[in-house]
Amino acid sequence: MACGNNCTCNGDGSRRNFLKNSIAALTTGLAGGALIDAFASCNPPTTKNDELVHVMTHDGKMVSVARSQVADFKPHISDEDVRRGIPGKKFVMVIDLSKCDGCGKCTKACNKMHYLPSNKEWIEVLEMQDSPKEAPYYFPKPCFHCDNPPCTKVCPVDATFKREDGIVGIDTDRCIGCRFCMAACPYSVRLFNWTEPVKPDFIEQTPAAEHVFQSKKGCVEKCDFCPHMAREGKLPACVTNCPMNAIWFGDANEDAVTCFDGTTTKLSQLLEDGAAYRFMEELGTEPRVYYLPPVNRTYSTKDMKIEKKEAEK
Amino acid sequence: MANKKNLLIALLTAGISAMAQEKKDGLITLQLGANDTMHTVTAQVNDLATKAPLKGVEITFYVQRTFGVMKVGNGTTDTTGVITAEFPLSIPAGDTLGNLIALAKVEDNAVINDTIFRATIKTKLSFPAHTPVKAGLISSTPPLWLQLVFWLVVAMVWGSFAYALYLVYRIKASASKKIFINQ
Amino acid sequence: MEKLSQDIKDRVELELLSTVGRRYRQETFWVIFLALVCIGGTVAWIIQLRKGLGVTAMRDYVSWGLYISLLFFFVGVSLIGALISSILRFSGAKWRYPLIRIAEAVTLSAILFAGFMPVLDMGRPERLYFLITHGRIQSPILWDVLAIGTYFFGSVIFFYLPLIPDVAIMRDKLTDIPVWRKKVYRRLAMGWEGNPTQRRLLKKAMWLMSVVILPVAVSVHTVSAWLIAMTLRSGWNTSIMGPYFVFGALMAGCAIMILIIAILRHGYHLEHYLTPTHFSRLAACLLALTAFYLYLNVNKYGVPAYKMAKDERYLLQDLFTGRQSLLFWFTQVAGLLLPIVLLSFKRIRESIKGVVSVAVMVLLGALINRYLIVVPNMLHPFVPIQHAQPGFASYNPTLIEWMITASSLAGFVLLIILLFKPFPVITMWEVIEGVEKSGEQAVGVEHLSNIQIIQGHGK
Repeated sequence: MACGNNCTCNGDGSRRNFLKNSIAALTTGLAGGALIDAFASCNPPTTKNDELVHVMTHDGKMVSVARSQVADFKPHISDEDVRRGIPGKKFVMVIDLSKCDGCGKCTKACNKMHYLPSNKEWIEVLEMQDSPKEAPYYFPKPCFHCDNPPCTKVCPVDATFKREDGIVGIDTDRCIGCRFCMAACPYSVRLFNWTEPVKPDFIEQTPAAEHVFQSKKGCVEKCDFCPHMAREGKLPACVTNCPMNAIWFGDANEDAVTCFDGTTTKLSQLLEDGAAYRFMEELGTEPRVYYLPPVNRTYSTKDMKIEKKEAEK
Repeated sequence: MANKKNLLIALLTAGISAMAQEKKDGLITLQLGANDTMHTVTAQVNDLATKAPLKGVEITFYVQRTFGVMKVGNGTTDTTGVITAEFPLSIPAGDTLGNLIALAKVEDNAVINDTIFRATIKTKLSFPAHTPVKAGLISSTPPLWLQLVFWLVVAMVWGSFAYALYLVYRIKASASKKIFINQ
Repeated sequence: MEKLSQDIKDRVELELLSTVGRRYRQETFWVIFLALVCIGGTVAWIIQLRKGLGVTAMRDYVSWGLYISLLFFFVGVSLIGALISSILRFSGAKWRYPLIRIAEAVTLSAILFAGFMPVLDMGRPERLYFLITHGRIQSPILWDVLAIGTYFFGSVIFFYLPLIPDVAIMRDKLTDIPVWRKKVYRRLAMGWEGNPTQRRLLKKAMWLMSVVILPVAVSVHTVSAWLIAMTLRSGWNTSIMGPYFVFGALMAGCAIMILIIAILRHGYHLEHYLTPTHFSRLAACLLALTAFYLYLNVNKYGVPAYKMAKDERYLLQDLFTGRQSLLFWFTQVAGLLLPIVLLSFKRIRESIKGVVSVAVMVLLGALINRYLIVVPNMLHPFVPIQHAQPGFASYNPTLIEWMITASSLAGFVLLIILLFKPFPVITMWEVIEGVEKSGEQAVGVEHLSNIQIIQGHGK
């Protein structure tokens, strides 16, 4: 009993406390073994082993399940579920450019999670300088999961698609490798498997569009917002490995985003206070990734070396 | 791995602190309500053993979100062991049924052990489980106007081709010497 | 106009039929050579299929390269069929009669290879059928595939319609050929005997097809242009792309037509039928088209160059003074400006050699221009290219790509040659009918009454 208690109280413990296969779950009253649920108080006191936890079902409802049963609570995810997305969610990311110091740990963590070789970057940290007199800044660029995605518009076989939860997914069992989406994406986010990728040594149960390892010869891949993690109530790899707490991830429906240290904040407040903007708003792609401008940076911009375009030199 | 380590450390510290300070176990009763603009959450803190109200317990209130708990207020209990916090109604529910889970958390308190209590508020602000991507250029299903235009154009062109081939057939039919056809 | 005597008609038919099934030494050499190139390309393709598109120089930034450039080239060339058999028909140009079958053969071959290029470019060609089973009609690729398929089918019909009376002539006149070929001709002739009903029906079908084929042809080019114009990339994101492609296509088609009729005139000894008249008429068309295309180029490059918006700027600098400047100025000067100047001289327009050399220049310019439309834009995305691995921030096609490209071009020429093996190059009945109605001069043929048939045609 005490473990659950201490766990929740331990710094970022509330984040860790989520059960493996639930979207949102939290242990109920702990300290002395007493348990009172004031409003919905029908939950009977339970023993240590049969404590009730709250689990989000895959159709977006919160249910009470005995903890002993939760371990086996692994909903089957069908092809249709994957194309629809996680019910009731609208995923959103906020990247705080004032905090990002370009360490590149997000890229490394992402590559590790998705078994990508070092020459592929789903989240790329660019060094940006908008004009010579302006100060440079680091610019992590994941897929923007646009609400008006130019890539899904042009896909001839519905291999890349917009999900209800905002994610733009790729079904590598469907992709024909025409690379029209790559031409259509104005942010150069999409990558192509020009040769046979090195496969990790495990078999995945979910449909291809939610595979952890997405690389397939002759198919396109890109940042997928880690839906397999979100289904378990966990943050994407780039967020949980950003030591600067520069990346926030959350659900716009809930109006909340969470960062590396577990801090959860109101999305609308964060966007308002930080004067958030979206990259190249004028393109009308309506990204689901917001940026907070690079004000009061904590690092020296003098050390930054900007790789210039050939034509700019 | 890291999880387990943390857990172990947490366990040890909990044990040590409990022994050293002989903190009490608390019982928190959460009362939830709402006025026109705010959710109200009232916590009544009692000693679990003696049921006596506990004064001066600092409580932080949170609401449950997908990836963590979001702080909505905090305060210290008065002499009757009561603390009330308010947070705006605009904070949306945590699931598609409109359930909002509120939490009262005691952390690093001198009086009682760390504890956390949870209650569910039924809000009116629920969001739909499914908001299908509208049939359009970005979606899987094409918009109606596009289907109509597309198939109309296809039908017109291929219809003309078919008619041209029909004319060829009539050329054959209007030959006077039928011998060529059957050979 | 007076009727041609039966004797002249017979001699014309005999001469034009003499190329059918006949072996020419030069032609045999070229067929073998082109076939070898094709085999080389097929080997390269097999290697590409096995190892993946990694054997090409295409990478994540330049994700489309030679193959898509060539798709646009073939799509462009294929417009010549519609120009000759539709546009010239409605403008009442009688000199088109001897050119119709050649134009349709070029179109057929070009559109076939245009349909083939995207398959070469696909990462997973074995999933091609997904276009039918999972096709999304919102995607310009689907429109393109459908438009190319439709245009191909329409061109087959259009190739066939004027062939019916000619096949009937072959059925009646070619007696010493194998039985199976006789049977094929008999089937294809559809019982044609030239009675008034049949003539009326054929004319009607041809009229219908020339009406329908024009919007289809324009749509093929426009939709192909939309493959790039429907994206948000600088340089591609412009509404001029559709017309730019259509007129670029007419120009390239006109140039390749000049080249091919020159080869056919020389190789098949068709001097009576493909005359300086045709060259000078086509040269006049080419002059108008190059001039208009230059005008479109001024719009396409001049308008953004005046404004120099941030993202267009790097691309335009690259084209005007940067890495691509040599190719760019070649297409503009040698491919457009110089041809316009040269074709303005009547003396050059009326010399076959002159017209052919200009056509070669225009064609080369058009080919390179397709490359310039596709590749440099991809090297200038909105998000700066940084930490690119070697080979990712540039595009230098590999041997495999060159081999496949060369074999596609070879296959295109080879197919044209092969299309003329079983059928006469010139539409016999239309030429005869045209001469009877409007005279030799209008049709552009020369001295039909002087044709001497030497037995075996052993020139």
